[in-house]
Amino acid sequence: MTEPIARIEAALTRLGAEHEPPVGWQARVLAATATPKPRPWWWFAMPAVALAVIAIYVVVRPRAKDQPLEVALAFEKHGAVVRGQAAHVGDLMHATATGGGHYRAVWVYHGDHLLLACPGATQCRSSGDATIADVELRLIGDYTIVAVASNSPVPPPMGTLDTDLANAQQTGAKTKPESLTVR
Amino acid sequence: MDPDSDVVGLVAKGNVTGALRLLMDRHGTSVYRYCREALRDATLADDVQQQVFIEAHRDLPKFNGRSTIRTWLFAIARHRVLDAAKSRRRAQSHIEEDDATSVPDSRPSPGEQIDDARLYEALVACVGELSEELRTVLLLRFQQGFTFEDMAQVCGGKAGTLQAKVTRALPILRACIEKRTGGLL
Repeated sequence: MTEPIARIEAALTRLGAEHEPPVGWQARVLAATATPKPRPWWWFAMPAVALAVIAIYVVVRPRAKDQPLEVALAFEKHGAVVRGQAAHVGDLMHATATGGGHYRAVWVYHGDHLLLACPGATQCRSSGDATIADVELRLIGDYTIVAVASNSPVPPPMGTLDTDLANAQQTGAKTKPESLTVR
Repeated sequence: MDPDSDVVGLVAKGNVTGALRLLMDRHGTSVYRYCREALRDATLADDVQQQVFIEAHRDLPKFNGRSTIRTWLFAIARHRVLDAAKSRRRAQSHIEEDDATSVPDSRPSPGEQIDDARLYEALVACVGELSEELRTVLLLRFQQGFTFEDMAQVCGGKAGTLQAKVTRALPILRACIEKRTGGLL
């Protein structure tokens, strides 16, 4: 017969042998001990890269002053807008200057004489990046529409085409004249 | 030679999570059973077991090799069990003790030897009636199979003192079992 104490010792070795740890305990421990995955080096550089991209865009993006100076003419005949150089007395001309620089002007001459200078007159307006002169063509003959642009303020026209062009070019402004014959 | 020397090797290579996985595979069940019998509460044992391995994961890089990994692990387990038991005592101090453990089990005929099943049933109850100190030494010695020298490292005492505690606990258990069953061992 086994000694009583030996029986107790033997039973003690089996104590709790019927119990198993709950399912998933290892996963819970691993989850609790998991350190956040270290961020890759480029993750920390992301804000700087984003700022650099924005800065480059701001500096390099196409801007009005970097675009070439252009002038476009459109004519309104009884409500219908027609593009091109065929104009008649009574038409309303929309002379639109774009690009070329921060400061922009549109001068309209009949022959050699200044009819309208934008900005500044009531027939002037701007739309987005464009300076527009709305001129009713009351006289037959040759018109010259001059778009002027510069990164510094454009000198006001004195009243004659050749002088005004020369003055503007002297200050470094870009000029783009467009001829028009009105019949 | 520590059978868990490969665990130490993984830690040395910086693979603490791999070391933890090995530890859990090898010792998870025995730590759980120790916690469960020491605390007599499955839910609490589950929590404490997880705490043990979380703490092991944290401290593995500081393991100094003065004991085996298993001994070191059970030292953590013993501390966490004591903490949990203390917290539970505080929480339950106002609750009246359940007196069900004093009810005798169905008795065999007087003088009849207790069979193993009845012995085990009574043993489970009687281990629960022991002081935490005696329960701990019995579990470490018999359930976990530690030598007294290992137990000294787990508990921080002297091997001889722990042996004396085991020697004292066994007759107490015997008396309790015989009282519960009304039979003889």
